Parts: sequence; C-alpha cells; structure tokens
Amino acid sequence: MTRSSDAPKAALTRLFIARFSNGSLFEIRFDPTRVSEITRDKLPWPVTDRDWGIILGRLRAIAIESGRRMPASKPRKPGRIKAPPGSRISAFSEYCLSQKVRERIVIPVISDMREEYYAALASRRRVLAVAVKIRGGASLCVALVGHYTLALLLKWLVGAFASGSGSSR
Amino acid sequence: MAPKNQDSPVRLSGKEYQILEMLIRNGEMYGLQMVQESNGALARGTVYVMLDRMEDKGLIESRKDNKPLGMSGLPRRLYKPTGYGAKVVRHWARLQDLAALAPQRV
Repeated sequence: MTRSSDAPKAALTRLFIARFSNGSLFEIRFDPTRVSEITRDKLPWPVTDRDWGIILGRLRAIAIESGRRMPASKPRKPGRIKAPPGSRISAFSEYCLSQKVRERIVIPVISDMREEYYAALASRRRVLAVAVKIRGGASLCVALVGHYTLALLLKWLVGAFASGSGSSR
Repeated sequence: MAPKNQDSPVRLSGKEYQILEMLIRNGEMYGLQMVQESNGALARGTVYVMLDRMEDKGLIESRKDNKPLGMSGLPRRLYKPTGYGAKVVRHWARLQDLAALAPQRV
C-alpha cells in the first residue's frame, strides 16, 4: 500500500511514503523533475522485487503527473481509429439486399458479432476477437445462402404444386 | 405479426420446436442467447433464417432492443413467442405424448 503527499517545506521535493511487504514504512524524498534518475541500486536499503515494483509504479505515476516520462517506459504507438466490425457489410447490404432481409438477418448477425468482439477485446483476448470476426463473416454467409436457398426452394415447391394441381383438373 | 393462415397445418421442425420451447421458458431472448443456451444444437448462421421463417409463420414476434442512453451501434433484436406459437407448442407436445403412448408394430 502506498501514499504520497507534497512536502510542505520544499516545493520541489515530493515525499513518498511506502508501506512495504514486511510492514515497515519508508520515506523517499525526491525531486519530481529528476524522477528518471532513481534506480534500484541508488536506494539506501535493499528492496524486494515486489516492493521495487510498487515504488516504480508510483514514481512513474508522479513522473507522468509532472509532465515527464520515465525512460524505461516504451513510447506508445499512436492509436488507430478502426470502424467497428461489419460496418462495411452493413453499408453494402443497404444497396443489394431488401429491408426485410437486412433487418431480420444481416443486422442481428452483425450486432451479435460486435457483442462478442467487444467482449473479447475487453478481456484482452485479441486472438479470440479476430476469430469472432471471421466466424461472424462466415455466419452471415451461411445465413444469407440459407435464406435465399430456402426462398428459392419454397418458390419452386409452390410452383410445382400449382402446376401439379392445374394439370390434374 | 399475425400468421398467414391459422387454419392451414403448421409444420414444426425439431429446432423450431426447441426455439419455441426456449422462448416460452425464458421470455424475451436474443438470437445469440438462444445459440448459447442450445449447447450446439443451433448455429449462429442458421438461427436467424429459422427465426425469420418462424416470424413469417406467426409463431414468434420480434422487436428492436432499446439501447440505453449514450450507447450507440446497431440495434439488437429481441424475440418472444406469440400466443399462437405457445398454442402450437402445447398441441405439439400433446401429440408427441400420444405418439409415445401409441402401440408399436413388431
């Protein structure tokens, strides 16, 4: 458990109190503009890996607060804005599919895929998220093929019955 | 949606019966929920084709899910059985019971 507070006397000195795993309290006074210079070997007492992790985390937070970054932290890639999965298919279906098929088949399949995709991303399972996208596309293909095959089959059956009853008269 | 013709005989496949039974048991459900609850009996690709057919037959009805304020995206569809669908399931179950009681030829 850690807590930090500003030192009342020196404006540049920050006081950081850490309660370590052995229950003891330590005080670290440091200059927030020179946070990156603090290394494990510079500490006046030996610390465990866990405690050093706590100190490092807190120091990084303070460094970010004061507008500086620790050199240990990797520079992040700039974020990429992506369209949600299925948005292109949804837009394309507006032109080539009927409103009924769109509302009853295309949109429910895409919304289910998105639900699963975002759930996978939220649990940091990126491979699963990609698998969900592939499975969603396959489901949509199966659904559309199934729908149109069934419609054709029904049309053919109705036509066959109609012609059969016509010829029997 | 009203059925096209209530006097004509209704054909109900095993999966359609399963969907209807599930909807009667749980009330309103999403398609994905049905797939998950069926333990592999229903597939993601075919469930909506089946639901579409059942809606045409008047066995179930659907509505768009109202998203909470601030949520965006495509609306999901909720399905529930119609009174006619519930009646069909009751009769279907009774028929199955009678079929089980009927003497079998050796």
